[in-house]
Amino acid sequence: MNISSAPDDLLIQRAKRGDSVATDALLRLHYDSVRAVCHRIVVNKADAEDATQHALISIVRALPGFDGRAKFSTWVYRIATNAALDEVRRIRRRPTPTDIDATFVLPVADATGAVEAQMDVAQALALLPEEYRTTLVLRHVADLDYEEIAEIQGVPVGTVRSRLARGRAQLAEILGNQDTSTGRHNPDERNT
Amino acid sequence: MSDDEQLDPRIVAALRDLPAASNEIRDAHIAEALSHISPSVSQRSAQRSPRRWLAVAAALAVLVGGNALYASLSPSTDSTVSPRNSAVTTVPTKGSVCDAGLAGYTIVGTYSSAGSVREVWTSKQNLVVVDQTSCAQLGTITHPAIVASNNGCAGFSLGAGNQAVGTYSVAGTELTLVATPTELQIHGGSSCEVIASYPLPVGP
Repeated sequence: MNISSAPDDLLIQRAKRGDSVATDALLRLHYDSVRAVCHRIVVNKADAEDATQHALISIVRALPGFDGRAKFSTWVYRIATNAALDEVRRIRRRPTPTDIDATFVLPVADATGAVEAQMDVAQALALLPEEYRTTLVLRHVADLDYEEIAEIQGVPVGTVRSRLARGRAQLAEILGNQDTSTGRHNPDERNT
Repeated sequence: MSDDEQLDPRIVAALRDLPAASNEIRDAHIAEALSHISPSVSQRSAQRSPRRWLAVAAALAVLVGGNALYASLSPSTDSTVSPRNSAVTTVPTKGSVCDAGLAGYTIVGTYSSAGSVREVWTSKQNLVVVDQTSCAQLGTITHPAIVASNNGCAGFSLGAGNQAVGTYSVAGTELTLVATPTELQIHGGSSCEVIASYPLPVGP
């Protein structure tokens, strides 16, 4: 069997033993997923690439300890999420934002309130509270179910539901979707 | 799931619409991550700049750009493993450079020596070490006599400066190949003892 067509289980077992070829194949299998989560949580492209790198390193380092209790993909997403959130916190500690990519203009709804065709969802996502943004990304980018998201975030499923509902409402509001908005985005509502 | 209907499908589509990473960036990210398989390497790497992948990407663009192109253009017999990762259809990049001249061999892995990347391939009879840049064969090692065992290495610590090349099987026994600064070591058995060692091949 060619290693790239081997099932995850076989690759995982070999990678856990330090097999660099299996580890390489495993990282390539999950690379796009890891990168997508990092980019949507971190937003800034260069920082998101750094988060992707850190996530992959963390996966390699943690592989020998993977016990199979969670699905491997869920385990990978947890590491990617943590790496992305670490990067976000690191960015916050910077004295002054100097990267032009980190700044953006809030999109404005058109007269009908419809979502603008060219809206920058990534930028709107960045305006959400971190826990809402992460939950939305895990649900809609990573396609995880509520139980998996709850496991990754270490919160009850009910909290995941409420975060999703509030995150969606705020995202739609920011993007000018008047079906769910009550006006301009108000940062004071973030934690309500 | 019905709750998805509460989010505009265009928003969901936009969330998922992320341009794919270039081959160079992806290879650099993965190469850097693989260097952390060795604990000794990871300690050194922890002090590196997080933007090191940029430099690695630039280097890999030169070193393995041709390889990535080769991999993308070659007719592949591999099946796509996951529909969510449709870009992943080729064998690991590190092993696909010199396979054209190594029919009947399978890749074990790679290691770096004297500033060059070496590929190690295995057949039923021997190991072959080739230079990844020129694909010149640097040496051939006949498989040592081994005692059949179902136990592969269950994990062991590499010494400082050593590189885990990869694992391979001979007569149903899984072996692990390690490159030290001076020799290739074949490890096996449950305690991963050194079964045989050979000086690093330097030329034909």
